[in-house]
Amino acid sequence: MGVINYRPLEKLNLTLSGSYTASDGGMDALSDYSTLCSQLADMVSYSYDLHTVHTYSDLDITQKELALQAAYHLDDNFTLGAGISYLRYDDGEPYLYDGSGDAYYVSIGMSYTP
Amino acid sequence: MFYKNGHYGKRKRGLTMICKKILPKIVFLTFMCGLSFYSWAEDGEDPVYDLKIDVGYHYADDDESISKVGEYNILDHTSSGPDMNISGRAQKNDLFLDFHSRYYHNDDFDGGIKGDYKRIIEEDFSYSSFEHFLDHDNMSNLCGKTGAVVVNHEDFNAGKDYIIRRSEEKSDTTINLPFSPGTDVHFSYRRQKREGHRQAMTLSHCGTCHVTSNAREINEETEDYKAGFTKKFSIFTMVYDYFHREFTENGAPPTNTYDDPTHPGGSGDIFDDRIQYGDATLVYDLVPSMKKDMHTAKLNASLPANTNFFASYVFSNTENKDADLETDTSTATIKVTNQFFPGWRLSGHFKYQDIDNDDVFVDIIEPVSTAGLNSGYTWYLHNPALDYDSFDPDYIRESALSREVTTLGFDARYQLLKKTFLIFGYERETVDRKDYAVTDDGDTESTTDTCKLSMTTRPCRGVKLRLGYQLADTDNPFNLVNGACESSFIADNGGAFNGTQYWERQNERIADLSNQPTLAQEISGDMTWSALRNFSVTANYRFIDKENDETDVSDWQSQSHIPSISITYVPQPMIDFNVSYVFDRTKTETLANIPVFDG
Repeated sequence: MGVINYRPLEKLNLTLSGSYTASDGGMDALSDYSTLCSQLADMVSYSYDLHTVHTYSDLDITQKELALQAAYHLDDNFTLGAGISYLRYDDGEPYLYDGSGDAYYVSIGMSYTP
Repeated sequence: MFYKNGHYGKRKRGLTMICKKILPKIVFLTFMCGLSFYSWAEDGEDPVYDLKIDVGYHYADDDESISKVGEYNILDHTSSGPDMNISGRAQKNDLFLDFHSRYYHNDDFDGGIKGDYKRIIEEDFSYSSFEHFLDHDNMSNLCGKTGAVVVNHEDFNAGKDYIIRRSEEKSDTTINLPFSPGTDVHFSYRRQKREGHRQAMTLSHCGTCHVTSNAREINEETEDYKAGFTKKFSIFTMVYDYFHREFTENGAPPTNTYDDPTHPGGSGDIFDDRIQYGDATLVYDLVPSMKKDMHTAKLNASLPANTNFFASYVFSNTENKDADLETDTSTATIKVTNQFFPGWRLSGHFKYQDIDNDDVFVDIIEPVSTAGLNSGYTWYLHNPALDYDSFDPDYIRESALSREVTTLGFDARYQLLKKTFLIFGYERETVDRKDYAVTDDGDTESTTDTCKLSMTTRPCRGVKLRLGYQLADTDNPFNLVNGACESSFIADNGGAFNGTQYWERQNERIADLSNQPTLAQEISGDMTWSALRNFSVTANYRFIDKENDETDVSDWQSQSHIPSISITYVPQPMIDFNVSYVFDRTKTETLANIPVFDG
């Protein structure tokens, strides 16, 4: 995560901020799958395949945010502002459904301070 | 887009909705500000104030799924529109005001105002509203077939966005009585509303494992009222508060048409006497209305010899208004702290808590069998020609929550060197459950002894260090006695309909199950290095070792290593960076118990 403030002109202020978050997790495989599956097959006559059970809780999430804000001071009372933000969520190991997506947000405005 | 009353429609935008939601609050703020400025006009002293007004327009758009990236923010295209921020403060003579208001969307706004008049009346009012985007489980994993047994799902609101709008209003008022120094009366009010829909799933048994999903309407309201007083006299400070809460779910519960529990192999309606939810349209996911009353009394005394005494008593009554069930809780706490001896800070604490939760008579619905060997009879009062073992399924649910908890402990801190402290603590907690046994022998009591030792020091300039060790030893932790793993036994012939019943197999279980450790140890260390003005590093390490060796069959052990580091660097006044990393490796050795659902 970082923030940079830059004043290229006396009346113009720029702010660039960004963050990056990565989350990764998983389980080791359970021991002795073959014996377990054959025991279950003997008990209930069903064939269960448990070899991928340990992957159901895998976690691979990245989140990124980037924003640029600009403020231009017209005079002591009025300031023009503009900004753009971008957000991205990535699910690298989706289970059942993929929550990945992104959004952006653009704003313009004016500020008054008497 | 939103879904309401069976129709999809665009979010209403424009002046009408803005006025309904936000205008009353702007009017209130304007009134308060206008009132304050009017009073200032009365005499000659100039008011001191600052004000900032921001108005603008925002455009938002999204791609793919919005439920995670915009979980608490309205970032879809329909959120585009005007936004406004107003903030300021003002002071004149003995009146002080601080206010702020933010509008982004008719479901996303907040604001508040604080006022103080002559330090006699203090008021803090705030309101907020935002949306929470929930997940929608598409149940795609609930689809399979083995022989005649089928698992399938049906989503009656496929593709619907589940969104909850949460709004809250709070007001805290304190009146310091000028004619009684050290005395104040205070009042608080809070109202929280949650509106929208969430997913509600249920299951039909036996014909197939048929999982269905409906949208559950949420229209909850929680109202809190609190009133009390504080009185300081001599060396004593006394506080009393009364708290009342009402919770109501006004949203209609969903209904589901449960399948006829027909035998999947074609043997007909032979399960009717064993399934409560079957072949009928019934409501589910019911949420009861609740209310809570709580009385709190506290006493603090600054005694001689650098001694502080604190005592409190809390009594609360919580009632499930729909089921007419109540929980009474009484808690008494005492804490004494002393710093009389040079370099030593000693404290002792004692707590007694009594929880009494009502028992419940559970009246099991006992349908009559319509086919098969038991046709015309209930499972309990079965056909006399069948000799399987049964019992009256109605029972009294005695609460595992009812208990007495006693806690006694002490802490000691010693200043070893100028910037080095040693801390030692011990605590014993005893939990005695009134109606729940945690061992095969019928013991209802769990006892935990906790010891902790730590040191904080500043060995050199810019370095702060803390090391700690904690050990907790528990006898008879909370446990499900005989919860899994049936032992070997000979089943009666006759199958499920005239032989050994499922409850008899359950009675043969021998493994206790508990996620609570009998021994837990933790080693932790923190270090902060800030030798440079613009650079600092904080590192942390925790090692946690837990085990339970008092279960039969299912003993377990778990070890976690959790290191983390955080770096802050400010190369220039206008630039700053922060990087952090956390790693967690947990290894658990346990008996894995896999329940197999077969009928």
